Amino acid sequence: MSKKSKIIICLLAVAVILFSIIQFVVIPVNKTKQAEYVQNQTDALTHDITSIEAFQSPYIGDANNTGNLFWSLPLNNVSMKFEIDSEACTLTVNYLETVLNIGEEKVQRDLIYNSVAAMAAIDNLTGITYNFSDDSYSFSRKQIEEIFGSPLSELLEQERWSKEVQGKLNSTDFIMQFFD
Amino acid sequence: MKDLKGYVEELFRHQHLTPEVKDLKEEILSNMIAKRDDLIAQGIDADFATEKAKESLSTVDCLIDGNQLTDISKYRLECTQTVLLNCIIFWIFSLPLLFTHYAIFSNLGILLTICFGILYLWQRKQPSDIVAFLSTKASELRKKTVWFVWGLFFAVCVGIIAVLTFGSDIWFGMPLNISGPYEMANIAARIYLPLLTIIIPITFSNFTKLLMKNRKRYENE
Repeated sequence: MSKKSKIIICLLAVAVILFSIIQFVVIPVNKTKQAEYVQNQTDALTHDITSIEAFQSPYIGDANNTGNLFWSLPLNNVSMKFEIDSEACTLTVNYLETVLNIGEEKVQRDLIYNSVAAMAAIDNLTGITYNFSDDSYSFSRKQIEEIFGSPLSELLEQERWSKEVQGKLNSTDFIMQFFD
Repeated sequence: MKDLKGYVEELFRHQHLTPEVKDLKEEILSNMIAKRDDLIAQGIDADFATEKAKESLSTVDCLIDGNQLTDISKYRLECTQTVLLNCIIFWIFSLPLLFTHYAIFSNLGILLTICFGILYLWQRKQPSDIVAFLSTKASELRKKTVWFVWGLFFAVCVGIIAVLTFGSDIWFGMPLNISGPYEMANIAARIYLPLLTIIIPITFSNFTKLLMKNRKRYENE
């Protein structure tokens, strides 16, 4: 066997091994991690707040930015439509699903999370209304700031967010104070 | 005279007529005419003398500068082997593309490896012993042309990619938005991909070397 043939066989073996490792180990592991991350992003208790950094804005008027922000927050697996009132600086999010189907406890927890995140990311957002097919909820900046402090934008630092927002949403009593 | 001129024209039919080849052609024709005239002077019939003059030279391949007698079957087999080797190298270097939008080019590497692998195995089993003249000059010219075309292609590709990727940042002040390592890898892959095609001019350079390697000694040498 010539030297060149030996080199071909060795390189072929290297190529097949590398290809198999990438195709059958690395890529499936990455896909699983990606799917897990996407799933985590749909729930307030597992959401990664750094994903909304790109959508920080001083104004509510940018519909594209507002849409992208909510598609990066919990409940992003539910279809939704937006209405922006630029004069009153308020936002209405219409979820095309019922609270019953999603689960009331999860909806309430996720809506608090989304409201704090949206008001922290968009400086002039004064209030948000969430409409579901069977229920609706409203949050004002004043109400949120009374509980989480001011300014809300400072909460977006990851450690502080985990401690002062995400961590507290484990408590049912904490959640219920927004809906009394 | 007309007969011999036609015969010499036929001998040079496949040759590229450089000034040197034209000189050689004229020299051969005048030598043949001289030989024929010499035979006629010795009392030989004109037609027979013409045929004798023709018989004195049956091919000009060995007289053309840059032509070499080559073991064609061995040369072709080694060329296919080289293409196979380069396809495997292309495949290995294209493996990182599996993580990007351009995974199809890595799969192309597998496909080429399989095709040339089969072709090589098939060629190896073909019993053949063909020997012919091949032009080393033409091979050298082909190599230089391929390198030039590839250089041009690479420069144009990189230029276009740079303009499309960084243009908005340079001219309109819109910052380049790279949202993560995956996006970064896709931008890098756009430049890496045309670079991978360097395997094509490298393959042509290998062909030229293989041609020299498969030179056979001509019996008149």
